[in-house]
Amino acid sequence: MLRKLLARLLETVVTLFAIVTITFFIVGLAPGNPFEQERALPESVMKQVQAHYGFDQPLPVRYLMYMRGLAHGDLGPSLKYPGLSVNELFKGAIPASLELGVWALLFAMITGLISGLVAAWRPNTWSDYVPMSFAMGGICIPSFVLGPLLALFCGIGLGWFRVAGWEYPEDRVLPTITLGAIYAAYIARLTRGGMLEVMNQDFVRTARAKGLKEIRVVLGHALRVGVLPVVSFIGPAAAGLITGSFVVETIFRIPGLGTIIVNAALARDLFVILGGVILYGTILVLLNLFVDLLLMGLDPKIRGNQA
Amino acid sequence: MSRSPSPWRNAGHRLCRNKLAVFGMIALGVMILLCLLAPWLTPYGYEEQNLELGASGPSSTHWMGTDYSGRDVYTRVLYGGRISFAVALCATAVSLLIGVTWGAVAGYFGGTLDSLMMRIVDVMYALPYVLFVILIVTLFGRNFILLFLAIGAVEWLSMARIVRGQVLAVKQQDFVEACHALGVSRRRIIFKHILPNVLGPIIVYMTLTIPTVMLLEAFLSFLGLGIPDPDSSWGKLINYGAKHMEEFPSLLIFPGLALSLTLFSFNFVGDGLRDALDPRSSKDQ
Repeated sequence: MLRKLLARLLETVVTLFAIVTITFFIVGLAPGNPFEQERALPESVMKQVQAHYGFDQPLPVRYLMYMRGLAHGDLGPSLKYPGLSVNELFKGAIPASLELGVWALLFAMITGLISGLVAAWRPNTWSDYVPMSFAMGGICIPSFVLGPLLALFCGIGLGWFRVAGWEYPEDRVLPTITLGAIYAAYIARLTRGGMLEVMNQDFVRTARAKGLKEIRVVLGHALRVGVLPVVSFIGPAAAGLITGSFVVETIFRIPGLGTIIVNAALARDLFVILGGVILYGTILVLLNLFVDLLLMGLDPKIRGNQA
Repeated sequence: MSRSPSPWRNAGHRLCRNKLAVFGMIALGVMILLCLLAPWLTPYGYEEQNLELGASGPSSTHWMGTDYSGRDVYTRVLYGGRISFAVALCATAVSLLIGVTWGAVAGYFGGTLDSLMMRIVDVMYALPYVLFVILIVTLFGRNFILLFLAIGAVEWLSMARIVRGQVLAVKQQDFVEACHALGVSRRRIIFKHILPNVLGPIIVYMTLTIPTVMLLEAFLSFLGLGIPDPDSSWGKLINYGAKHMEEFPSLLIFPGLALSLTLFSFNFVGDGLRDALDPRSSKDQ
């Protein structure tokens, strides 16, 4: 157990290192000059600008410089907003993105688990078909279609919500649904599948034979194992939420990380994208570590002696 | 002497009994035909403007209305579909090539090589790969070939896992042993003898990869990082429609409908194929 834990931690560190290195060299080896603008700078100015950002050094030296900065938590300067560092840019944007992500994940977990449980309660009846049809819809209607449609109907049509902005509590509703819908759908399908498989197993029959109420059998015994596929899905879901938030933040004009990274990509602001990849990579890797630990706690099979 | 029905024929029968899958196949067929035959199906050109008309809702002359430059939306949806399908198919081919080779080699050789290759896959699973696509597109400029290479290069991981698992199972069988005894080369064993036997899961997973890839392209195009001008894909049309939906919802609804319907169909066909080709796996996964 301890050895496995240590191996897992070591792997996390190696992965993080790989992310930073690979990204840096992709950026470093790319053709073109990040300082090229529509109006050509005079040769001497260009040289100065490059020297200022350390771009006159060879690539390995730049890599070491960047790594040294990173070790101090410094993601470098923004090339398009002179005077602003990537850290400052990100610091202002993280709260909105984080809040949106947490709401969406909560929304997806709650609606997904409930509709999955309802569907698995009586399979192949209406109480199964209706939530599963919604789930299929959630999977096939992309967020960038769902978002504008929701804004159109609930925002412009019914006038319940504002179409864009992030100031009032009710501004959270539409972006949360837009971002969470597809994961609610996946979670519903996974919960249904997991529960159906578990309900036939011996330990559930034992629980029933003990005379437990059905609700305790389902929620107390079966769910603990049936929910395992959902827990393993949290990692990929979080990765998807990050990607999805780019679109949702763009649609609803939320001042978050996604907006900053998309704008940086359009403006070729290298250090910002590099910082984005590293930040999101770190979050994902740590989250996956957390999910693995959670699975170890939940699943006696993984906890035991399995290789 | 009557021949016993081949497994492929059995699978075909099972597939045809699945109503949703049949609906999906028909819808896809119609959609692809419409896109391919676009020049003959519409009197308007793709870039043909009618500035006097400007934007308009659906009418008898413009079935899906026109955009602000007076371009016919129906025409643009059909031509946009060509690009969306083309990117999706090319990117899926790239992911297929990498994923199948990677998985087959890892599964066949086993041992240290296998664990090393699958560790790499595990590590890559944890990467924010869409950001890598964005990074690549930003650095190397937006163009069609780069786009599907980049998408294909990040979408092969699940395929590699599936193929490896299947190859592990098949390589234990007697006919592979026989090939060894006959001195067939390893490359030939993998590609000529083992892979045809794992074709079922590969096809199933490929059908499910196409919509994922199509979605990723639409996603990038929506953000303005996908298909370069003047070409358009469904994602780009949706982006344009979302900007102008307050005045003309038709600009958003029709491209959105086309994309959603295609994604629905691919998923139905994929699920149907999985049930048909691999009856043991449950459809609830």
